[in-house]
Amino acid sequence: MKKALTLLILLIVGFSVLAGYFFQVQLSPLLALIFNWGFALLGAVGLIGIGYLLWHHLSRIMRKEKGLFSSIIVLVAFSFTLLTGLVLTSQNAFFRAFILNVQIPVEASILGLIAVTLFYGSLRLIRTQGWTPMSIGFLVSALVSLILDLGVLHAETGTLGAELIAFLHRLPLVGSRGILIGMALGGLMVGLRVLFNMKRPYGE
Amino acid sequence: MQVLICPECGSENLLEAQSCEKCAASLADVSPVEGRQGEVPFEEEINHDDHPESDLPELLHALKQSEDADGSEDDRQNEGDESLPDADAIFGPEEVIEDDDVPEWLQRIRERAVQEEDSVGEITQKISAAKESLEESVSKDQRENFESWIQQLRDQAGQSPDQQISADAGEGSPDDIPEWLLKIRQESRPPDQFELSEEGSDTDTAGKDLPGWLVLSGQVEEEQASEEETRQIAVSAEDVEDDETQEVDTSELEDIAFREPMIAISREEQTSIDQLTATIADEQAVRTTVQPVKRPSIHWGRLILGLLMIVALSLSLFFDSIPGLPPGQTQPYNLELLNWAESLTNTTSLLIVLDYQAGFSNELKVIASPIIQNSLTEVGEISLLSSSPPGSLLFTQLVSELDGANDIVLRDLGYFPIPAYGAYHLGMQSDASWRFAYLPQSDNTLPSEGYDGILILADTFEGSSAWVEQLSSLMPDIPLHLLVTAQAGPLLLPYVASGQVKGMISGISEAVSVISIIDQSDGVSPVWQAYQVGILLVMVVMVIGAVFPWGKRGRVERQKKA
Repeated sequence: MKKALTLLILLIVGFSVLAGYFFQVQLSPLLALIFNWGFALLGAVGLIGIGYLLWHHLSRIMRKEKGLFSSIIVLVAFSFTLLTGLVLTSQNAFFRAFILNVQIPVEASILGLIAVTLFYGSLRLIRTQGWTPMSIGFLVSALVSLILDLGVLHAETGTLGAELIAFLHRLPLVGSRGILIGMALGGLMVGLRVLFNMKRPYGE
Repeated sequence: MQVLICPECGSENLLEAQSCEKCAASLADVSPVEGRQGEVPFEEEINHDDHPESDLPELLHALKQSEDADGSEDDRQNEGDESLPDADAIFGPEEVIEDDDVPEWLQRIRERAVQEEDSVGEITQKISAAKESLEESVSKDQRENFESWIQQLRDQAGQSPDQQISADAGEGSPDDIPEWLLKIRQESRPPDQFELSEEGSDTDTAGKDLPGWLVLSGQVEEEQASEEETRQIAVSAEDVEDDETQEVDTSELEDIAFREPMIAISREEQTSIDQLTATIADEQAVRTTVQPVKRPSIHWGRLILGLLMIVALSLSLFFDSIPGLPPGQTQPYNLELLNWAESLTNTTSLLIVLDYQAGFSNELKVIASPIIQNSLTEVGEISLLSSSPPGSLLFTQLVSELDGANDIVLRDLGYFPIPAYGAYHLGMQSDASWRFAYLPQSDNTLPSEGYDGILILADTFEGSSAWVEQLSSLMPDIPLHLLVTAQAGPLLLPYVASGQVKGMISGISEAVSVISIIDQSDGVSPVWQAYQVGILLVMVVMVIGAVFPWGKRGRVERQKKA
């Protein structure tokens, strides 16, 4: 019974959203209702997640477990951000500076670390593979992309150099089209499998 | 001393004997031979060495030979050997050697060896295995010999086994055999052998055809049976008198039926056993291991290289050596976006979608700031829709740093947690003919007349593609434009080529080419210079790392890979 109810809801919602592309005017109120419920559910899930996070750190403080200091910092920062956000709103310059002057350096540092890790991984690829066609192709394509990104290559319009540069700029288009076609086919198949109850990502 | 060797069983008899003491075969035509010196009497030999030496396993042979060799040279050693306990005496739970000469540690080891089965040494295990195989081989040989003898009898009589048994049963019926003897035979022999053994027990009639070992077995059995019968008669007589039940000791019967071979272990072997036991105990002892402290190696090359890169990037930020931006290779879709931005007026209704994280805000600031400052200040009101939590904060911060920011009116429409939801919800706005009553309505409703254009600021392909796919299908008449990071640009090129996206600027390099056209290069030059220096450093290190794979480590990694 429970499975049948879940399946019924899935079919109604799925086919309604799909039909909304073809009968947009007629179904827009129903779809607006469905999406509003979806947003409400997502908000509830977010609140549950925040509550679980707070409870986790609170319990760690009460039990005096390892990482006590970090939990205290998390709770203090969360409480201060919540209070200032409620009082000052996002249009306040102090609130923006308070949030962004912490968040931007932290995230930029993480991105820098990712860039260095990817760069070192590319070096290790060449070192471990040796001089193989794949490693040579990877090295050459990376160098060509970086040279193009430098912006130092210029040629007069209509010349062979300009055509060559334009060709190199168009090269990523080929690969990205292939990737997108594969993703589209995969998404279509997954959607159909879910709609026809051949795959159940919603439970079990 | 001269003796007579029986031709049937091979046993030695006295010179005056007329028939064999074991098998009762005639010794009339047997000539005397020289007997062995110091030989044990016949009965004792039977008792102590029931089984032929050919049945002993290889290990017992080796022990026997070494014992014989030692015995001939050193009588004292032999005496010591006799006093030595066997393996059961060493490891058996009942008897533990109590010797004052044994050190205390060895005593403890022996006690532990008694408790732990695994601590029994290899020699003792072989001895136990030899005992088991000896029992099996004896019973097997007896069975085979018995069957061959029965086959001989059958061949002689020319009768079937059933007929032979029935004939024998007629001569001497089983009723004559006491019941207790039948039980003993049933327990000690296989069922198929039981009936036939009754036939062969008559040594007087068939003794001529019986082999020696079977005659010996029959004699022992007869002696055993006669003793038991005598005992039973005596007991029954007492029962008649006392009318009570009495127990009879049958341990002698068990001794006669089977006696375990005596295995003597020399002192050297005992010493080896002790050493092995001590070694096992030493291996199983609990010890605290001290792990060697491995000092972390410092990769000085990497450290120096990293420091050089940081210093070079920092210097390129502080020393502005480029007076102006060079004209870049502007792409057609860059010019398309630029033309659209310049066409905006104060009556234009514009929606800006924010789908980027704080980490990419500096890159998008370089890309978006010239466009916003050059064109969007003319727009009266800009609606903001965010699918990332800090989206509206980031864009408000970006706009607040521009000249003429006070003229821009921003209207925040909120945050959608999933880009596809927000895009679908936005695209579904239309004049509906029917609505649900009593539903709460949002204050920040989307304009019913739609927008004149939508500009998407995104840092990833996934976020921007969700907006593009939904909006281009639900709102195909509204032009879409993208300001995205360098990592998202290449994968979004097909959307530009298909016409779903009208214009796009991706990455700092394309932004610089656009900036060089609109001449809005304030503050961009140091960033562009640092960007170029960073790319050059990456290229140099990549080439050096590929051409010189740092010797040993690269080779080791390739070998591991192979």
